[in-house]
Amino acid sequence: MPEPHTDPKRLLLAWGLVLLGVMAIAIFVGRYPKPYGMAPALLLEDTLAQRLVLNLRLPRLLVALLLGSTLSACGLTMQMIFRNPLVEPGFLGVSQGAAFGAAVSILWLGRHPLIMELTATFFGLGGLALTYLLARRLRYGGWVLRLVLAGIAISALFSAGVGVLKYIADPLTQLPEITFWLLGGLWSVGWEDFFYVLPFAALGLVTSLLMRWRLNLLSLNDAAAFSLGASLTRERLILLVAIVTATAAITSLSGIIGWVGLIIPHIARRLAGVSAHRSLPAAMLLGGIFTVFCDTLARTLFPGEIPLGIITSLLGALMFAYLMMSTGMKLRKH
Amino acid sequence: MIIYLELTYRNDLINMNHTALTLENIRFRYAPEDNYVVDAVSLEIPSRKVTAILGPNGAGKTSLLHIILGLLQPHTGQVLVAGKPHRDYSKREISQIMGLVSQIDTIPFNFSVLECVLLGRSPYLDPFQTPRGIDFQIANRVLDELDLSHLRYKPVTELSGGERQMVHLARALVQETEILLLDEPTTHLDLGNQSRILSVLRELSARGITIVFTTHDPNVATFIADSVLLMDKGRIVEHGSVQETFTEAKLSAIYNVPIQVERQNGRVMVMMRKLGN
Repeated sequence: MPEPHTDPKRLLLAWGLVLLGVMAIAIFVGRYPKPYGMAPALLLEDTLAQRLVLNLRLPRLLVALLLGSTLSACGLTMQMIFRNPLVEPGFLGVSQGAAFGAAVSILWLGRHPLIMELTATFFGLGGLALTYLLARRLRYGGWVLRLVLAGIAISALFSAGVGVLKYIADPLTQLPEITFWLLGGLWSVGWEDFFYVLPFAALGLVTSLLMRWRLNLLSLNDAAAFSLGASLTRERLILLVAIVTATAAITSLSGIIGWVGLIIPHIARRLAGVSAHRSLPAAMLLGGIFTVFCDTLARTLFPGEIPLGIITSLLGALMFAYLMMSTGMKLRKH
Repeated sequence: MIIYLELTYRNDLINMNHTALTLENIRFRYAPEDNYVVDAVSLEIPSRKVTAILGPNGAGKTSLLHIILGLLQPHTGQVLVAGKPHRDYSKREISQIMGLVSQIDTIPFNFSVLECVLLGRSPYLDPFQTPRGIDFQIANRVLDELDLSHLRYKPVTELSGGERQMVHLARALVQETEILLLDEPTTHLDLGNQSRILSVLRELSARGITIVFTTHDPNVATFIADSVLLMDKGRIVEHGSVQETFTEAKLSAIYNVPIQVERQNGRVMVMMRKLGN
């Protein structure tokens, strides 16, 4: 059997460069001074262009990058911990919990980004905890199946809760805010948001990157993982809390962004190999590229903004269907 | 098949001149309302020998193996590893002393063979470390020795049952442990693959590795086991050499069907006498 055609290290480097390229292009794409973009030279003379790029586009770009990387890392981590390639951050009550928290914050606690993040994180982790507790009490099926079932129940509970909050929200001010937030988008983010979310996202990204080899162990059956020295409960808990905290915090900014956490880990595994040693950094880079690309489409395609969640779902679902039908996407031929 | 494993003996961790494993009055059950699946088991497993744990399905063989490993905590009694209580070792130390080849199970992710085998080096990596050059060297050497190099980049999910079991064995070998536990290593394998696995185990035993494996097939045990534990309903019924243990009366009793034992040129062969009771 031949060596893999592509050295994973060079592959990661190449994607890092693609990410930088996409970001550099995205900075100049937009509806100023005319539709679809500005010449880079304009940045030197036009103070409005400078303010636009520095105060609006740059923070938004960075948040999109964090969003994509975090969702992808979270998806990949959960898929490996739960030994199920169809798991994503929306699973286990995390996203719906965070959505409920954000709606609570909009209704009663105010729109301050830090407060929204903390409530979303609190309810996101709460969703995870409730799912876990319920799964322990279920008397049906294996551990993974019980988690899935409990996750479905808790998610439904929280989305019903969001429905109640929408019903009692002020239809002129609060309701539109909740609705747009639920559709998912980054139109209002600025530097303040970026700096508030950065520590949360960094916690999840750095923890999962550092523990990526352990993540491989956790994807084995319990006996095998234990025999290789894994502390199953502790390591699972550390990874899940770190990555869920990051996801809930960034979800409080962006709203629910579907499909990134499901589809990107699949592509990363196909291209960089299954081992999280390579596939986790690959998922972070690809997630960043995908989300920055989608967000650029969201803000430039039409004069009015398209919610980011709609674009990621549209492209994500199409890519997922394509991926499931094709077998020729592998770089590692055999 | 010849294996040239150069094990780095870690005499600082354990002294293998001691009895490898001592079980003292071990009892275990999964829930308080259940019966004990391992019931008052006391025994000594000698170093550098092959011990087979034999018994019908549900006798408690796998549970006993998981108790030795430390995955299950016994309700009473304790396990001594080379004379020292199991709990006095850290988890990392145990994973450098004992390796496990668990029963074949489905793998949801198609790791390549090399990635899978590299996981066996985890006991020697710090929590945030990824495999180093030396780990790749050891993994590749073991793959060479087990004649698996040609499969190095193949996804594990595309392997045959025999190849997959060999890969799991390779993963346990790169762990470089003094004690190797195997749970039903030959189940689901055809005769050719059974023979290959058993010959590797015999070679490892000759190199001083202590081997403990479970099986429900007496004929697998007769090939390589120095001693046999007969288990039934959580208890050790017999413990001795193959010649002593495999008698028609004892085997018929634990399998609950008439069993015929043939002895030819010092080999013991076990078969059903007729169908049913």
